[in-house]
Amino acid sequence: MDRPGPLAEFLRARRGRLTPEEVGLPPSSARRRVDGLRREEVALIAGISSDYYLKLEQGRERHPSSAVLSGLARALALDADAVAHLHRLAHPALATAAAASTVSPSLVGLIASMPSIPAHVVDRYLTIIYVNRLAELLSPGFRIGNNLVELMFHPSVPRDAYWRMTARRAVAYLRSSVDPHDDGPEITALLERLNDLDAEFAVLWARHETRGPAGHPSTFSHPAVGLVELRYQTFDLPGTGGQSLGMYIPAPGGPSAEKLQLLSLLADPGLLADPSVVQPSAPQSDRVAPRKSGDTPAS
Amino acid sequence: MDPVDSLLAELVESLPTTPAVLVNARWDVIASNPVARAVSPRLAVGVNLAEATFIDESARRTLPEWREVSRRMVALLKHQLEQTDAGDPRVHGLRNDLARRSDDFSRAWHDDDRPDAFAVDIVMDHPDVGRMELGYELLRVPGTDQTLVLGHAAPGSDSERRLFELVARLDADGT
Repeated sequence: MDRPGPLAEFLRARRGRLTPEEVGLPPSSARRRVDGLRREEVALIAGISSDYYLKLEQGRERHPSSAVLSGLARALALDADAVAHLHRLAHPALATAAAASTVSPSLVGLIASMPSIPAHVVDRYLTIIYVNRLAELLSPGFRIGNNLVELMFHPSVPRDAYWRMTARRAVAYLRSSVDPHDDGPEITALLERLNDLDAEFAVLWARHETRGPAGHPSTFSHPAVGLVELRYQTFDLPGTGGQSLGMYIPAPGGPSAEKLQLLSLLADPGLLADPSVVQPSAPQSDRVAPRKSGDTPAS
Repeated sequence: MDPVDSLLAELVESLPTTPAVLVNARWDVIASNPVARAVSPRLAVGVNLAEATFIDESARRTLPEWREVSRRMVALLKHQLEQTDAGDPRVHGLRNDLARRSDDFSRAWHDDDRPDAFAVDIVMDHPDVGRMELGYELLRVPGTDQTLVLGHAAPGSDSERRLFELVARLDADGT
């Protein structure tokens, strides 16, 4: 028999993690045989028949209507990211454009024009396909060919509280980046490598969480400048088959912004003479302070 | 409305030499930085860039390749409409409005152009520093209908020199 499909796997995983209280049902006094909600309970809240819900979990119905999806989102208490993912799961797999492994020259030109921001481009499997000098200096893992999630699960990374938070986010980021219908050799090989690296990966992957990394704190420990605290912002690159640009952004005017400036000087002492680098003593340094947008009237 | 994420707003503001403009699905500017506004006063919050392209006569004067730019603008709006099954009603509204006000827009809409790339080169004649050719990259903000547009000039080019000249003037003004 065929695999039940990504929608079925998602529904089972999310149903297994909910308690009746989370969806507004009275706590059941009888001991439950299984964790999570019963199929009947989900069907009831979603406004569909138990039979139909069973078909969905068995993969015999793979493309439910938007009304059914709205009901399922309610019943499984899904947040906005998860609702978007649910809709992707229920749409027929698109013939996905082949993922280009090269970055457009004009994007490279843009990244080169912003040497003061660590940046990389990843493909839809979160494998680095372009990285700028400052990002290379920030982390030895930021090299072309390395995968962001594999870096996270590498045995050399200490499994502390920070790791537990960021590893879970990295897995959710991978879930949201790959096409849920993709079962090709690249994703299969990546998942195998991740499973081999750390058994914890499979546990997190099975949570079926999806979340973009918008604004996630990202902390780097650098031998020369110490702790650098940045936030990670990604941008989808339309027309590239799933590439995204990631930038590591410092709080304006803060110590991490200064450390990044130091690093960019280490990267290329010639930048001292480059007008595109904001220097601490230059009169323009006040311009890096946050300011309300739109303070220039439209004309 | 179009809430602007605080991190994005900081990024836009802090880019020292990069014209940065955040637009919504209708190509209304919802955030921009001083460098962008020095490149063009049209790149200011509240301006609809499709309207500025087709209705504002000054666009035809300052953009020597106006026809190409305007075609790309239309192609990007069409692309935006294709992102959802029904299409964003705000974009439909904009299309109807512009079709009523501009024959050029109606004609461009009926041509079946699609964006073949998501970077746009725009040549412009700046009143103070002269001709600049800037490449603009379109970066989609995940989970929103917003696009961050960042401009850059070829390294070592006259355009880059003129862009830096604008930046230097901003710094001198202390704005």
